[in-house]
Amino acid sequence: MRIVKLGVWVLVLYLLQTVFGRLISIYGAVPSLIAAFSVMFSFLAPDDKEAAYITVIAAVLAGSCAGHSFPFEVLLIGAGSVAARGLAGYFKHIPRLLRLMVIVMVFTALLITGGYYIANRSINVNTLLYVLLPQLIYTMACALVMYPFMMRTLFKKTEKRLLVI
Amino acid sequence: MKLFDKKWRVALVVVAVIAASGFVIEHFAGINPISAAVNSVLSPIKNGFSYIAQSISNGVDFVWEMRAYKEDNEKLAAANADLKRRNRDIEAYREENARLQELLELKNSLDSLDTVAARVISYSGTNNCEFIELGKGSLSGIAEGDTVITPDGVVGKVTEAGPAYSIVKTILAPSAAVGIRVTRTGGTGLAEGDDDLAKEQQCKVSFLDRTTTMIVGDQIETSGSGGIYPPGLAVGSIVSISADSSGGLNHAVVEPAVDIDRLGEVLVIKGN
Repeated sequence: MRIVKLGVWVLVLYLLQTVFGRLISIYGAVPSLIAAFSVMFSFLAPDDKEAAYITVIAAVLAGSCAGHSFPFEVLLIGAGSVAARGLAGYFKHIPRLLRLMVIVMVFTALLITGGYYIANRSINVNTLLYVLLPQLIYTMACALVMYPFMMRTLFKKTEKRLLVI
Repeated sequence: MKLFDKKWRVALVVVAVIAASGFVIEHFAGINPISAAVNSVLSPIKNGFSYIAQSISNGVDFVWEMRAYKEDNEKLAAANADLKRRNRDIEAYREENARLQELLELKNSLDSLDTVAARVISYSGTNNCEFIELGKGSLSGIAEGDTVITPDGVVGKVTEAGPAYSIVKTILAPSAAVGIRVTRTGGTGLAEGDDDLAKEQQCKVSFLDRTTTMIVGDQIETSGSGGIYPPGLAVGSIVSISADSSGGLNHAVVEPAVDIDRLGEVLVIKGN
C-alpha cells in the first residue's frame, strides 16, 4: 500500500511538473516539484532504504525532463537528498519544518541556477531576479503545501493500543 | 552517521553512475538512453494526461477571457446594430432611387408636357386615401386641376394649390371621375370613386358603352376625353363585373394601377 502511495505521489508530481506545467506556472515559473519532493522525503523518511530508492527514481525522472542538464540534475538531486538525510539528525533545536525549508531553498537555488547555466551557458543578475528567484519562491511555496499532505499520507503515525481483555 | 550508511553509499554510487553514463553516452552518441527510456515509457501516460491538461487549459483560458469576450460581444452587437441601420438606410435609398429613376423616365417620356416632381407629404386622415398632400405648390408652378401621375399610372388631380403644398383628390374619391378606355377592346366609360370601394382601395367603372365587352383582368387607361387627363395613362385593371337585370353591363370594379396608400414621389403635369 505504501509503495502505491509513493508511486502515486511521484507520478502526480511528475505529471504536474511536465504535462500540467503550463497550467500551474505563474508568470512562466514552474516549480521543481520532483526535486523538492525527493529532498523532503529523504529528510522525513524513517527508512534509509526507502529514501534511497526514492532518491534514485526522482533523480532519473527529474533528469529525464531536464534535457542536456541530465547529469547535473541527477547528481544534484542525489547529493541534495543525501545532504538532507544527513542534516535531519542535526540542529534539532530548530523546528523541523524550518530546517526542511532551508534545505529545500538552498538545494533548489543550486539546482535551478546550475540547470539554467548549463542550458544557456550564461547567467546574469536580471535572470537571477526575474527568472530564477520566482521559480525558487514558487518551489518553496509548493513544498510548504506538500509538507502537510506528505505527513498525512506517507508519515502518519499509527497509534498502538493495548488490547485489554 | 546516516550520511554514510551503506544504503546511501549505494544510492549515491547508482546516481553517480547514471549521471556519468548519461553524460558519456550523450556526448558520444548524441542521445541520452536513460532519458529516452524514461520518456518512452512515460510518454503514453503523458499523452493521455495532456488531453486533460489541454481541456483544463482551454477551460481556464475561456473563463479568463470571458470578460474580453463579453466586451467584444457588446462591441460587435453595437457594430451589428449600426450596420443593420445603415443597411436599412441603404435599402431605403435604393428604393427611393428606383422610384425617382422611374419618375425621371416618365418625365422624359412626357417631354411634350410641362411636369414637376413632388413628394407626398401626408394623407388625409379621415378617409381612405381619397386626398393626399404634396410638398410643392404654386411656387413650383402647380395649379388647381393639374394631373398627378406616377410611372405606374394615374393618381388624381390637384384640387387646391397652396404656395408650398398641394392637395390632390385621388381617383378613389367619390367625386373623382376619369374618362377611361378598355385597352383590349377600345370601349369607353367613366371611372369613378366610391366610398365603399375606397375602403378596399378600389374604384368603379360605369357609363360604359352597351356594346363594350369586358372581362376580369382587362386593363383600362385614360381616354383623354374631358381634357383633364392625357390619354394612354394606366388607370388599373378590372377585378369584378356586375350586370343589370337585363343582362347588360352595370359597372365594373377596378383595382388602381397605382398603390395609392404607398406613394412616395409623384409627377404633376402642369397646365394640361
